[in-house]
Amino acid sequence: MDGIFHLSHFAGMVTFALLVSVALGCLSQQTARARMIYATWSFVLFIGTALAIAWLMYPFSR
Amino acid sequence: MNETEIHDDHPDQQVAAAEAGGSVAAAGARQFLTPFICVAAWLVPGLGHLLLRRWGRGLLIFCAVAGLALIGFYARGQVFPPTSDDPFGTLGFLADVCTGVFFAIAHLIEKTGPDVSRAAGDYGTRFVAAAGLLNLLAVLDACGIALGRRS
Repeated sequence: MDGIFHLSHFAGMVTFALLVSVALGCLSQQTARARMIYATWSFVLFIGTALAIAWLMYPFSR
Repeated sequence: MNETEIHDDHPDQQVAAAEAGGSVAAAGARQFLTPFICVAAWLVPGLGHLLLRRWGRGLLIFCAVAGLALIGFYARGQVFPPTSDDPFGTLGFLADVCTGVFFAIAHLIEKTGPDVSRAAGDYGTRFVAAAGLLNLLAVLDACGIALGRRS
């Protein structure tokens, strides 16, 4: 991502997924263990879904 | 002396009455403080949880919301004006306002203004909106904790 600082699109996606997953885990679960599990699953699903959609779109990109 | 007075003299009854009175007072104090906690949670993300002694949650919420908002501003994401002909612009403004203090300092970071002609600025707009919505959830969570509906 171009701006005042440089952040690649993939790094931006990972950062977004990480921060949103942590916040949602904190807000939706009551125990530390449940928060960690929720945040980890949320992060994995964010990245996994984005990569899956990217590969699905790959044949149409050229 | 009636039956009630006899029961009130019993030590267990006195303790129960004191606890009941204490819980009523605590509930009253909670209801009085809830609006202030909600405003604090909105102005500074995570502050509501810190005031309610949820230290870890408050710090994590602050880091998450601050990270999203600052990255969004540094990527030159759009900060929506209060008045807009587009309903999505109004929703964007509401999401931006929900970032609290970060909305106030947006113009200090984005000195050259937003740039959504490139993908980076567009992503930045989403980062800021996500930060606002997460802070809104945090405000609602802090409000629920203050009212005793959540732990």
